[in-house]
Amino acid sequence: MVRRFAALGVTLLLVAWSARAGAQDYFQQGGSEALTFKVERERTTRQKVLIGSLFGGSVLFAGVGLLFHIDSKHKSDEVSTDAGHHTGQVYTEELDDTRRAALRSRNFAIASYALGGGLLVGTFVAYLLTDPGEETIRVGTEAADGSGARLLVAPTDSGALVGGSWRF
Amino acid sequence: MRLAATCLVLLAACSPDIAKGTYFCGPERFCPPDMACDDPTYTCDSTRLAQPFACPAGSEALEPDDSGADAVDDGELDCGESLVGERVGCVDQDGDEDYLTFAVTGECVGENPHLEVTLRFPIAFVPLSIDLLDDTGATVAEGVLCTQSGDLTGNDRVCIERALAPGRYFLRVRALPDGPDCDGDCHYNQYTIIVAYPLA
Repeated sequence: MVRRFAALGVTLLLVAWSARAGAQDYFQQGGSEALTFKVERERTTRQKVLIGSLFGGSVLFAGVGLLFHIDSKHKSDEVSTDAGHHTGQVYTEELDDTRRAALRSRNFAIASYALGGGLLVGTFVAYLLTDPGEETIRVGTEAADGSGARLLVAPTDSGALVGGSWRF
Repeated sequence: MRLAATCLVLLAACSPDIAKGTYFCGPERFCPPDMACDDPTYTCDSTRLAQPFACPAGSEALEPDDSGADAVDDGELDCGESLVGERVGCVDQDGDEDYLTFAVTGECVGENPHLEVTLRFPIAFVPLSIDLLDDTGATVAEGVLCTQSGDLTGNDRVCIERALAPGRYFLRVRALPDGPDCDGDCHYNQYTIIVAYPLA
């Protein structure tokens, strides 16, 4: 009786798997060869935090750089002049302070952009280096000890259905 | 790469770009880096083109007028009339003073008859002062800064406004005592003086 239920279960499982796989013939002729498929591995939490931190830092520094950039632009516009057009203004210490502040903001913007860019590159490198790769899953493999045990794994939408069959 | 190039281009636009010949020199010949004060025009210009100070043409025609005894006599100050209109002068060395004298012969009738003196000079060099003296040499009035806001001439103005009793008076123009003068390197200036006696 148990054998019948086991056989029925396996049959239903294989039919379901066959329907999911569509036209592909994973079981091939003979049915005794292993069925393999690949699954993406997940990054560890630490790796995710690292990548997120690097990317967040790059966005942060880009934003700070943009603020300094806008400040620099605003101050530069205050003191910049066009050739051949006398402003009628006197060049005072206050104007010179504005000019120096514009240069200071420009330098901060460059530094922030450089840091942000560096962190963005770091994010990309970390993404590549922490790539967990794929895992190959074999389905229907005979146990090495010759007991006739068979592992059955069927992917589903939210994970996989794992089962097995043994000889008694 | 394209983003980085765009950022660099935008940053280049954020550097102050001050063209030569677009600002008057600040106090003590102050100018942006890599520029110098062109003294004749008191404008910040290329260091290669900047010229040293020279008194404007005709500004020393009334010299010597360095004391009350040598003062330029402009005659009688008539009620409601202009005595001196836009006269150009020059203070070209330490201790140089220019005097002019006039006489008020009677009381003027009007709403507010008063002496009105305006001394205009570039901000770039040593500031000038003007004093009204009586015939004993005592100071009757001192000029006060009266530059209008928004003035676009690169000049400061010093003014005297005062009702006068009949008598002889002197106007003395000189460098402001202890005024900033680039540690002596710009202890000179040119000026324009206007003297009138409006009735209101």
